[in-house]
Amino acid sequence: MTDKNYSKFNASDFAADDFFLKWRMAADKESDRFWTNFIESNPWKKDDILSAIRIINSVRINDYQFTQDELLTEWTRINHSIKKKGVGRKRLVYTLSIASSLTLLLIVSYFSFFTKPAPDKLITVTQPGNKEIQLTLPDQSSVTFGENADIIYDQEGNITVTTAKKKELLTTGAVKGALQMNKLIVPPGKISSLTLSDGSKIWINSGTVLEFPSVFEDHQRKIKIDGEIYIEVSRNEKNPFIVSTSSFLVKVLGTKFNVSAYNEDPVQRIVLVRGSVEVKMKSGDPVKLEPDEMLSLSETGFHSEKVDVYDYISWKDGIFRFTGEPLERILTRLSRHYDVPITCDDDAKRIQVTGKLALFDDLTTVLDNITVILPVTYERENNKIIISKK
Amino acid sequence: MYVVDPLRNMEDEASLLARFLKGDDTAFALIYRKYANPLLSYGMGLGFDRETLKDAIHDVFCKLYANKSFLGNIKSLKSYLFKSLRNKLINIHKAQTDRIDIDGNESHFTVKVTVLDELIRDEDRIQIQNGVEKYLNCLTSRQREAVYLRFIQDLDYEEIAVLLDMSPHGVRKLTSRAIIRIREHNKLLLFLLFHLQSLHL
Repeated sequence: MTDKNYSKFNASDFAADDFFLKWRMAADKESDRFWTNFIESNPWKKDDILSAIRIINSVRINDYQFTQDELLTEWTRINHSIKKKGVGRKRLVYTLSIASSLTLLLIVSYFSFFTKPAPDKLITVTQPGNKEIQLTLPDQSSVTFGENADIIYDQEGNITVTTAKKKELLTTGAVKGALQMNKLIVPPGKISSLTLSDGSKIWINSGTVLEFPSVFEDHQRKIKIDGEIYIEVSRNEKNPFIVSTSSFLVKVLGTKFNVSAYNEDPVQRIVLVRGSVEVKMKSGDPVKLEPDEMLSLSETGFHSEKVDVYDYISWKDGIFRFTGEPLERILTRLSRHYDVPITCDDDAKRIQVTGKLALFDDLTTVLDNITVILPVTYERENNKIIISKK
Repeated sequence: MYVVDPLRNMEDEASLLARFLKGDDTAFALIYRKYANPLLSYGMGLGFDRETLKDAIHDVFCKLYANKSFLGNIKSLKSYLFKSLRNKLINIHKAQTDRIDIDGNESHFTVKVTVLDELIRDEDRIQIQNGVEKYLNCLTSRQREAVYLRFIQDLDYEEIAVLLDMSPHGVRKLTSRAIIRIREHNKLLLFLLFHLQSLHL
């Protein structure tokens, strides 16, 4: 009897409908029967119903979260209290180094060595050249930083840069306009974070170039990347946020996701943590992603799949997590992260690893951990790490 | 060839706990990362403010660390932490109410609903949020808390039972009554609405 009414509903109408909502929250035989019948007699509504279910599944209750800053402050305070009581003093220094890397460490995977075996067994993404983070302002003047930097643009275009050593105010009063692009280069071995003038926050992985305006225009917010970022976009319905790479555009209103799009990598990908995004590739219709979905693009096409998001953003905990990945790929990540060339023999390369690796400030600690877990040994030769199977 | 990594089950609560109890402080850091936000969420539901909760959660983790050697037989780390926070908050509440002399034994569990889907219009979002809130608010505070712990925090009936000082059977009854209550809510009204609509058509 109500079919006529519901047959005009779209996905959000269903999701906002009292009776539909009740079915999703507390289904019983009666409501199950009603909606099953409805779909059977209105098969063209099935997609809308599925979308509505997805929307309702995205409902969270008491979804309060600490900010990264709060987590870090509180964690430091806990460690401080414990230390004062004199428990496990020595070990806690070690734990704190994880904590201090929580906000800045970014680790993701690189596909290049998986699909294209490296010719000379050298697993390295380090290049000779600048080892400093470089920020080029719209007037083409450049500033460099020797340490990982936290850069904040405010709405007036003022820039504050904080590194482990100092905090400085760079410039004041940028002019509005799309042409006012800034360029941030984060070389291998370095990681940085950037807050844009609209409050969106970006974590920038090693070996990434990012272009962005000092202040956004009124109708769209657009940034360009070559490399890898994790971004939390502040919501603004009227002013969509667009991340553009050499092969696709990601359009969002406000959400959290990871983009890995190094020009030199054969596979680029987007992993959606929260909300939803639309990805537009060079040809074809835009593709929508749901939370926990990964879209991979390569020359041969694209596909999306459900993934454990944590594998791709485990940097949030200052760790690498991987599931059944070849050691080779993990070493590639480490090489990029620590800016150290790593070589590896063929037997060791193929070892499949599943697990987690805490990323300490010191690569030696990480390598020690690897040799405990895996049947490999390592040695240093000049500035190079050589890994071989035991 | 497949190497089994001892770190594999880090996500798994039991082995995280085991590692922590053996003195691994990396595990302690990961436990903090994993449970700080759920504890904040639970505490906010119990009606405490963020700053109070920061202090309470601080104490919960300090206590966890200090009592490491006595915790060998904890069954569930998550419900232990929740219980520990709950007790802490009850004490804070008592201290406050003693001072202002109100007897408030009955906790009041509140819910704030958010829709994460970002591509829907704000008005739809608000309507969905209100809808879910309305259904949850037709429950008793205790039913709401049990539903939250079971379906949002994913605790099982035994864990909730310990947390709420009830029997597992009691918790099961509490949540199933909550579901029935949602199901029955506004049933007559909805029926009439549909009926009227169909008459118009």
